[in-house]
Amino acid sequence: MKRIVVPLAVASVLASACGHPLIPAAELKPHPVVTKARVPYLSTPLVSYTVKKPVLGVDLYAPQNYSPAMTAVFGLRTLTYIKTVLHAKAVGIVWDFFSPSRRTNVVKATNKGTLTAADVITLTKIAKGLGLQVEYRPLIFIPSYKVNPWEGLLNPPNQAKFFANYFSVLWPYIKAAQKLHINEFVAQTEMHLLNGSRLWKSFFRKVGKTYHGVVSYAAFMRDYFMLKGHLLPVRLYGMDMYRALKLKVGATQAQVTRAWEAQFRNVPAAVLKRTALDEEGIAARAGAYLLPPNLGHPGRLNQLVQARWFTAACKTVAHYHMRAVYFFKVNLADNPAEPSKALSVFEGRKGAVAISACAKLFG
Amino acid sequence: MTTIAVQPDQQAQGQGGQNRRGLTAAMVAGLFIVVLAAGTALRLWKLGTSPAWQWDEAVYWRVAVNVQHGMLAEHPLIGVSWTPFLYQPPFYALLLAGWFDLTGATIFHARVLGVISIALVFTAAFRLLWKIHGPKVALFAIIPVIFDGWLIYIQRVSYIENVLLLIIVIAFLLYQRALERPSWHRFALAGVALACAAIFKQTGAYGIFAVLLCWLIVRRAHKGHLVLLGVAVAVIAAYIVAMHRMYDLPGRPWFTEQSLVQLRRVLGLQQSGGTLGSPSALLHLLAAQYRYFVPSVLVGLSALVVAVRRLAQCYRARNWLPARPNALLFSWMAAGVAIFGFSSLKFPQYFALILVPAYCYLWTEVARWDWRRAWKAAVPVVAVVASVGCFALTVPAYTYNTLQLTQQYAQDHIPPNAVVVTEQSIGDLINQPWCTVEYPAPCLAAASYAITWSTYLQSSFTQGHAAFHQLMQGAVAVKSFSGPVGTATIWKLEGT
Repeated sequence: MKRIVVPLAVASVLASACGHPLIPAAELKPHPVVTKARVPYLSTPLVSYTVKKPVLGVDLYAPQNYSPAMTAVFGLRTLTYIKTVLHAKAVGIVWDFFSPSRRTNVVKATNKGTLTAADVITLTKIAKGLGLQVEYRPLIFIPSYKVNPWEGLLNPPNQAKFFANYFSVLWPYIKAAQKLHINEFVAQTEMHLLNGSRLWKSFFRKVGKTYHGVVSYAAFMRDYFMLKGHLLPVRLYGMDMYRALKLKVGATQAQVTRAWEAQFRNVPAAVLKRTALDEEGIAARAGAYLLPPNLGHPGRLNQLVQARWFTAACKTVAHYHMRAVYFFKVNLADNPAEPSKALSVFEGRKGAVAISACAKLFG
Repeated sequence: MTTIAVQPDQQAQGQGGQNRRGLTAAMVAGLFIVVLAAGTALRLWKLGTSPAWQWDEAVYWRVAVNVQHGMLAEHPLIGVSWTPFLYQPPFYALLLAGWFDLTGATIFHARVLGVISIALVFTAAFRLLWKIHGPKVALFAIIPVIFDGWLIYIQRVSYIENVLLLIIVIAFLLYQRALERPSWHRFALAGVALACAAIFKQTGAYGIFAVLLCWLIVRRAHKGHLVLLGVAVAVIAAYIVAMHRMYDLPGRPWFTEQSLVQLRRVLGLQQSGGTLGSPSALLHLLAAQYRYFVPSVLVGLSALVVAVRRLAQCYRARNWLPARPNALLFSWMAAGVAIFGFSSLKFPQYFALILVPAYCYLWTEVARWDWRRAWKAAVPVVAVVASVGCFALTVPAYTYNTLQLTQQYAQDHIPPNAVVVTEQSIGDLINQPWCTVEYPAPCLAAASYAITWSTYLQSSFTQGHAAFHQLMQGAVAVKSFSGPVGTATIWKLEGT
């Protein structure tokens, strides 16, 4: 047998030593990271949609609950800033719900941490008074996981119960959305481990029975880009773009824009034009291109990093005729006249200038 | 391993094929050449126009043409990273590309290669029958096989199975030689040939199962059989290692992924268009599209009945002795029926892999029956006349070449840069940039035409992705070609 097996082994090694016959040389090079982005597949047929001018939006984030009076005061201050300084046309009102752990069916509003529906209504009325379009976008935090309280890792043991709970805490906000005729209800954000759930369809339908505007969701970027991810059954899509880009601190605006646009190159145009960037943020920090989601990461201030990132986001949205971009974030309690020194903040920095320049770009 | 083992029928016929009734071995060989020439002529007759191009032909044609240009791939898709064509092992594409270099790259030329392969198949099969049953029985059995209507029809199409069958028959010829004069290197050689069949096309692995069954029946030359199996496994393993090294790149395991797709399709874990899903579908096809081949079906069923009868005899005897005189053909046929019967893939060309051994088995059995000579001669003559007559009817019936007309229309009427969403085979025939109906997402914004395909077994509208249905909203049919193979419809899209 050796007389057969040995020649065969040698033959196979020799054959493979030929390299990669009949494969074009260009295909043998490792694919650059940007081309690894795959197109998500659609779980439902696309509904017809006419491209409109992109909307410039800013997320107004309430990390905790405030009294109605404080909410009104803070809201008027920050929304005026968003409207008059940043020249945004829309505001995304963002607040928190909470789950006690990742493996739980519970999702709840807390007195201390969750902005009440009444307060959201107050903010909505102020925003509308200023002529801003309004989007609602709740988040879920898991405070017991201090290192990563992200909702993307929520994996409830009984999904039906979880969805029922989630709908019940959302219910007053959904009613408010319908009552005030807001422009869009982003019913969930980045629920990565639940992205494959079949219950989303009925959930969105249930939301849509009360709120008759646009019901969408903000997809986790990997679920949006990856081959094995997929888009949930909604008419219009959203996603949070925090993908790390291999850019040097001193990358030019053209380089940053090119890298941004490359991320979406493989996404079908029909999907792109139905997509809004619901959350788009980065710290004004050297090296933040490599770690965009970590807004609280310590480091050296570099305003250009943030400004170029924001400008690139705007140009990408315009280039692909996407629906909107919402920059994350202005905190409800912020005083834009005396902005915080935290690196995550863009108020009073070149990032804010970049956002306002976006308004001109979108026209 | 040195015992000379001769099959009983061969002993009856006498060594060297001498025949006491006047037909010498040379005369039998001469008659076979005449018959083979006639059979080959029938396969070449109007080969360019009938049957219409089949689904797989377009794919193999495109891959071979691309191989000529240094690329083992189909017509590349828009928005999908480049992928080599490894759903089938690359050897047929290499062979076809070499043939195209010699003759020209058209589907007609591919068919000519298929007919040459089939002529060699019959020559090897005749030699195999001769070795097992002697020259007279071999001639008696091979004539109705050569002139079977279904085989003439299906072997005019440039399927991989034409060449695969040749390798399988040669492997069995080597195996029979090893059984007759056992030595480890003869069994090893047969093992190499059987492994070559399996790595030429995965379905060729059924030859190994046939040998396993034959071993069970003959129950001798155990060491030789072990050598055969060991060598076959070693060759297949060497092939897999070499292919893995050549075509599994980091992050792009093309060979592994595509081979697993084929495996999943065979096991029924993954759906594939155009396969027979139920007995009722088979009956429908026989009553409609393949009604001309009723004689072939009857002969095939007769072979099955004879084989089942033999199996029942074995069961009653509680041993394999009744099957032993025709062990190899019985095993070959049984393996084909079992493997392809249980496989989820049931393409028409696969039936040739069952019918050739089934017919050989049937007619060699008939030759041994204690019938009057006139009856014995009459049965195959009737089968041949009916088969050839029915085949003659198929030539005009199957000339409407839907795929060729579609290709021509796309060339003449669709702008060269227009993006088309269509099915695999049509995408390979046209030169326009394209997306598949299963994954039209990259073409959603750009597609201006769609070409749908529907047959009794498959339809673009049932296989298309949800986005394809969206794409088709408001589409206007501008041309339709409908033939016995299927219907192709060209649509102008409204655009999203």
